[in-house]
Amino acid sequence: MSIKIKEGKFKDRVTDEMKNDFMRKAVSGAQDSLGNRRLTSTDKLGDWESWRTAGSEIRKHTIDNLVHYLSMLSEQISAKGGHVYFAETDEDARNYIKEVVRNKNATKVVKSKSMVTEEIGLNTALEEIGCEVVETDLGEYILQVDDHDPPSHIVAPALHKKKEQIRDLFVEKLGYDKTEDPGELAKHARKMLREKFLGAEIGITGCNFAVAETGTICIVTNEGNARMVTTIPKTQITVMGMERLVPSLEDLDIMVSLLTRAAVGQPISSYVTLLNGPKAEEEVDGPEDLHVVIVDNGRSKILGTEFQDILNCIRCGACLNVCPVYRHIGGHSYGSIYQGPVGAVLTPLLDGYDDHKDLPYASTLCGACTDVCPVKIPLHDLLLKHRQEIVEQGGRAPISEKLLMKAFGFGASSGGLYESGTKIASVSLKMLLRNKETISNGPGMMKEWTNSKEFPTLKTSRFRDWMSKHESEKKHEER
Amino acid sequence: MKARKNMKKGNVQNREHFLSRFADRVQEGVPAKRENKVKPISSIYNLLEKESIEDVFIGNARTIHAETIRTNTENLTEVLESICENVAKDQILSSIQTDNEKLENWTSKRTVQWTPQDGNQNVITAAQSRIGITYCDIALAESGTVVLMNEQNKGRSVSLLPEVHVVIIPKSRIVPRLKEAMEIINGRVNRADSFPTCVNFITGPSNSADIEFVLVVGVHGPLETIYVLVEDE
Amino acid sequence: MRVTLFSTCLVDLFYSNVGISTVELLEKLGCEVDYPKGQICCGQPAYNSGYKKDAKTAMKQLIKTFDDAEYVVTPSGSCALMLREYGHIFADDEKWAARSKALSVKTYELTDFIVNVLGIDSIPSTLQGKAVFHTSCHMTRLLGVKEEPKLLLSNVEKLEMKPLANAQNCCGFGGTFSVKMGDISAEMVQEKTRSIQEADVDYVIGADCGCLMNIGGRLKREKQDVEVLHIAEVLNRGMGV
Ligand code: SF4
Repeated sequence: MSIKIKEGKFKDRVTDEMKNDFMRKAVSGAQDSLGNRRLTSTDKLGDWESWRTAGSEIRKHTIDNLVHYLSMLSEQISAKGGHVYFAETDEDARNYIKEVVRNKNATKVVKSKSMVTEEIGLNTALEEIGCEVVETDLGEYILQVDDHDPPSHIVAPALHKKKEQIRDLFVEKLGYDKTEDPGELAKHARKMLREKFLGAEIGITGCNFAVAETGTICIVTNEGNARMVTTIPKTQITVMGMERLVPSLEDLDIMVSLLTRAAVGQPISSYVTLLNGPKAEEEVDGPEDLHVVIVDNGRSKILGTEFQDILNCIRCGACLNVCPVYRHIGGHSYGSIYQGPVGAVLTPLLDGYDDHKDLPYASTLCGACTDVCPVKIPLHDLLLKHRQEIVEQGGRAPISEKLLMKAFGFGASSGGLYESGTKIASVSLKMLLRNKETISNGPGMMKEWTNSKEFPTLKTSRFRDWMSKHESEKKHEER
Repeated sequence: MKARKNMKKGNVQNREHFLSRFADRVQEGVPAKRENKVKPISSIYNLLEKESIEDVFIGNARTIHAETIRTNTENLTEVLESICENVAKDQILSSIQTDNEKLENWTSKRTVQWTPQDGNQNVITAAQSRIGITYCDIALAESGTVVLMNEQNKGRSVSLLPEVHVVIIPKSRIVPRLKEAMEIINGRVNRADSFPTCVNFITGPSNSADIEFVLVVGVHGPLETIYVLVEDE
Repeated sequence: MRVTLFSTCLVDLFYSNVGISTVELLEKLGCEVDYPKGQICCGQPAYNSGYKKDAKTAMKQLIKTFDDAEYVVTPSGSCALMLREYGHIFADDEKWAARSKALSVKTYELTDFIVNVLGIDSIPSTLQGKAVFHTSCHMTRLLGVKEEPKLLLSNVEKLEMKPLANAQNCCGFGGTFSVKMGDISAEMVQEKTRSIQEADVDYVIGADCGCLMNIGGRLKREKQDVEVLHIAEVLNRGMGV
C-alpha cells in the first residue's frame, strides 16, 4: 500500500461508498457513541482548552526546532544502544529495513499498527523478499485477512465493517464458528495471533511519540499487540514520521493525556509503553537489536509553508469522528490511507494534487474538525488554503467555475453592477419559476441542488427595493 | 557518566544530509528553555482534596474492569493464595523483587519465579502460565493505572502473556496522575548506568475498540487484571 | 442608536421577508436603520471556493460602503463571520488593513447585537407551537455566538423549544459545497430533516438563510409540514408596534 489506495474519481468513489449501508451505519453509530465518550473524558480532565493550548504549543515548538530535536533524539537513542536511520524517501526506508531483515536471515515478521509503514508500502516490500508479514492490530488484522481491504479510519482501520461481515470473513478464512459478538471475534483473533507472536523474528512498530531528551519511544495501544511486538522478537524496527517527537517526558504527559482522550475517550489507553533502547544484556525479553527509522517522505516540503501546522498532528482521529462529510462518505472515498479532514489536508501535501485535488472540497468548512483537534490545527483553514492554492496554480479548477468567479469579482466590484446583475438574475429566475412556487428541476449547476431539494423563489421584489420604499416612507413620516 | 555494562553505542546513519535539506526552514541552534505559557491542571487534584488517593484509584480501576482487593502487609500472602487457589505452581509465574520475607517465601513455594539465567525459557513459561504476578513501581489514581519498570529480574512477559495479571500495589506508590509518574521516570531514565529499558503503563486488561468502536476486553494481553492494594504505611 | 444593515445577498434575492423583519425589529428596539445601497455580497462564495483575488474585489467594495457605519448588523452568522475575517485577510495590505479591521470589529450578527450591544435578552413576541433551533456551524463554532439566539427564543411566549438530535452536525449547505458536492450535501440534509421529523415540531428556526434555504428546500421536497423561520421573523412576530 502507499498513500493512494484507490484509483478513479473522487465523486465516483463517493457514489459507490454512499450505497454501502453497512459502512454508513457503522460510521455514524461510532461517531455518535464516541462523541459522548470523548466529551466525558475531556470534561473530567478539567479545563480542556488549556490542555489543548499547551499541546499545540509543544507541537509547534518541536516542529519549529526540528533539526535540534531530531539531532538530540538520534544521539539519545544511539547512546542507549539503538540504531537510527534517517530515510529521505519511502524507498530509502524500505531498503534500509529490507537490509536489516536480510542480515538477520529472518522471514517471520509481526507488526503493530503504523500508518507510516502503510505510507511507505513496507509490507509488500518485505513480502517480496520472502517474509511473512502479519498485522497484529485487530483492525489491521481483519483487513489483512480480507485480502488487504484498505483502512477507512486512521485509528480504527476496519471501522467500515459491521461485526456480521467480520464474522462471515472469519468463518470463511479462519475456521471460526461462533457469533458476531465483538468479544468472541477478538478472542479468536487472539488465538490465531498468539502463535505468530511466539514464532516471530522481527517486530515492526510505529511510534506515537519519541522523546528527544531521553531517546524514549512511546507506543500507545489498547490491545497489547505493540507490547507483544516489542517483547518477543529479537529484533525490533520502529518506523516513525520525522515529526512525531516531543522534547521531554514532561511534554509527553500532556501529549498522551490529549491523545487517548481525543482518540477514544479514555484517560489513558490500556498500554502506554516507553522503550529506552534495546534490552540490557542481563535482561531476558525485549529486542537485542533496536532500529529506529525516521522517515521524511514529503514531510519536510511542508516545513515553512502555510501548511506547517498539519505536522503537529498526533493522529488521534478525532477530526474524522466529528466530520459530517466523513460520516456519510466513509473512509474509502478519500482514496488515501489518511482520511477525513486530516487526510484531506495531508494527502495532497504528501502525494500531490494530481490524484487528490477534490479532497479539499469535501468539506462544508463547518469547523467541527478544528474545534475538536487536540492540538488546535486549523484544519478548515488549511482546506481553504488548499482551495486557494488549487485556484492560484491554475489549470486545476474547472473553467466554468473560474469564469463564474471572475464575473462574481467583476460584478461585485461595484454596487451598480451588482444592482443590475441581480435584477437580471431575478428576472431569469422568475422565468424559470413560471407559475411555480419553487424550482424542482434546475438547469446546470442548479441541478446538483434540485436533485434533492427545492430551490426557493423570489417572493415579491428584492429586499433592497422594499427598503427604498420603506426609507422614503420614513422620510415622509418625519416631514 | 558511566555507561551501562557492556553497552555499545548504536549507529546513526544519514543524519547530516537529511537535516541539511530543511535546516533553513526551521529555527537554527538550541532553543531557549521553554516554559508552557498555559499550564494545564487536571481536576484530579480537586478530587483528591475530598477523597483519599486509594479510593480514587480503586474507583477508576473499576471502570477499566480491574478488580481491586485491599489488604495489608500481614495478610498479603493469604490474599494471593486465595487468588491462586486451585492453580498449580507451574501455572503461576512471578517476577517480584521484595524485602518482605513472607512474600518471598510464598512466591518461591507457590510460583515459578522469573530467573534471568534460564533465558528464553522464562518467556515460554510465561506463555503457558495462567497467572502472572508483578509488583508495581508506580500507580496512577486518575486512571487506575499501574506502572512496571522492566529490568533484569522483572520480565516484560509476566504482565503480558498469562491470562490473568495480578499486580501488587503498595499504597505508598500511588501518585495522582501521569505527571508525577513522568517525573519519577525522568529521574531514572537519565541514570546512564541503570535505566529501565522498558516502562509499561498498564490500565486494566487488554482491550480493543476496532470492531464498531465497541470496547471489548481481552485481546492480546491478559483477559483479566486483579489489583492487590497493600496498606504499607 | 444608528445601525447599518448588511442585508446579505440571500436576503436581498430570496428572503426579503427576513430583511423586512430585521429592519422592523431593530426599529422597534429603538434603532435607526441605515441601508447603504452600495452594498453587495460579502465575498464568501468566491473566498471559500479558493478565489481569494476575486473575493477581495467584492470585499473592498463592502469595506468602502461601510466606512461610515457605527455598527454593521446582519441577520446571518455566516456573513458576519466573513466580515469579521476581513481584518485577517487584508492584514498585510497597507492600504486596506486599517479599514478592513475597523469593519471586522464593528460587525455583529443580529442576535449577538441585540443581546450584547443593546443589552436586551427578552423581546415581547409570541409564537404558538413547538420548534427546534438549527445551530449553524459558522455562527456557533466559528463566530462563537451560541447562547444568544437560544436566550432570545426562550423568552418567546407560547413557544416550546425542543432538542434536535445531532444538532451540532452541519446541514450540508456549505455555500458552493451544496452545488459542487450535491450528492453528499443531499445525504447530510436528509439526516437533518430526519432528525427534525423525529423531533415532531411545527417550526425550524435558524439564524442563517443559507442553512434555512437548504433545510427548507429539503423539507419541501419531502412535503414535511414544518415551517422554516428565520429568528428575526420569530422575534418580530406578535410584537406590538
Ligand atoms: S488533525 Fe488533529 S484531530 Fe485530526 S487526527 Fe490530527 S491531531 Fe487528531
